[in-house]
Amino acid sequence: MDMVARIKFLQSAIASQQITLRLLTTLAAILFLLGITMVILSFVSPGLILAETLKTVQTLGGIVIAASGFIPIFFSRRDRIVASRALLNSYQHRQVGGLSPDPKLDQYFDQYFDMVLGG
Amino acid sequence: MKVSTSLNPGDQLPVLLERIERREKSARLRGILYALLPVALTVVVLSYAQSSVRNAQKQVDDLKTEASTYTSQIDTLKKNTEDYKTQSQSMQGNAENFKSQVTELQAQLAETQKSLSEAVSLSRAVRTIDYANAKELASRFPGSESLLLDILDLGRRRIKWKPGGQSVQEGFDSPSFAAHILRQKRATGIEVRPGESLSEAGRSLYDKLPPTTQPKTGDLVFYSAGYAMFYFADPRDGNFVLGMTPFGVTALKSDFAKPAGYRQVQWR
Repeated sequence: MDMVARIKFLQSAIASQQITLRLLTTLAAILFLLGITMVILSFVSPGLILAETLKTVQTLGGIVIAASGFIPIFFSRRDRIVASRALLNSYQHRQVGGLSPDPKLDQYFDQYFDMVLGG
Repeated sequence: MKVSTSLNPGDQLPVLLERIERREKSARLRGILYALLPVALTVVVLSYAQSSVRNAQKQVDDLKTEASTYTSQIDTLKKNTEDYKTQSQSMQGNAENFKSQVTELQAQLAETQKSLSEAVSLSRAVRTIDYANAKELASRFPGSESLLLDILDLGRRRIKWKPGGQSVQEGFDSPSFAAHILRQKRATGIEVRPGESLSEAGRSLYDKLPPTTQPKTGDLVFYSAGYAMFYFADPRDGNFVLGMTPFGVTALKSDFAKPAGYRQVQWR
């Protein structure tokens, strides 16, 4: 795979990963806000969502939902995007002659390739 | 994986991009699934809890309605109990009244029986007086003719027996009749006190008049039954007493009952 193809591959991969990242971040934000809202409402206006006798249960449920908001963050694989961008930047520098050819960069690319498409 | 070395960029790039896209989709789904799994569990638990609370609330409402029904029933029963209590008290009062009435009637019956038995005993002892020959009878009692004739005259006027009576029109009982005669005839020792009624005067005769054991004509004989009769010593037909009885002015044999005492009367 030549350098142009690698750059194109990296750009496409980063674009797709960014969509995933945005989606999961949005989901995380929604869940977090939803959970916090439930917790606050259980104190401010008990009985609005669930029966007043279930105030404690509503608080606990809100905490669980807010905590669930962190799960998409763990699955967002931001490290891969960082790695992809680093590789893309390096290849783009090399393309414009800013970096001298380095076999280690290809080695990193192969490792990244294994990580992305491998098992 | 050594894919990069063996792949032709011109042929492999679309395939690689497609694989990348598939993996990203899979990653997105996994992330969403893992994030929503606890949320879904929480929603299920909360829904179940809410449903349980609603059922419990419904049961509480049903029980409240039942309790309200029972409370109203208890109130009704309490009111009925109060009514029955009041009725019972009223009936107890009525029973007391009936009891006192029965006691009163029993007393009246006893009195009536007593009067009847007295009347029966009196009727056996009645001495018939021939009013047509009253003067002849009076002549047997020199000095007391007018007493006998005056009493017989009152007897002819059919004066009624009236316990506590005060006048000829009203009637007399035995002591008040005796007091009336004594006052009419102005016997000594029977001074009329101001405000003293005839019946009071009659009752006080026994204490006021001097006692005697040998009665003479015109003296008073007191009987334990309450009679106060004028004594007439008749040697021909037997001694008799004359005065007011429940039959009116009647002459009776002097021994019709055991005398309680004799009292001497000083006639003017």
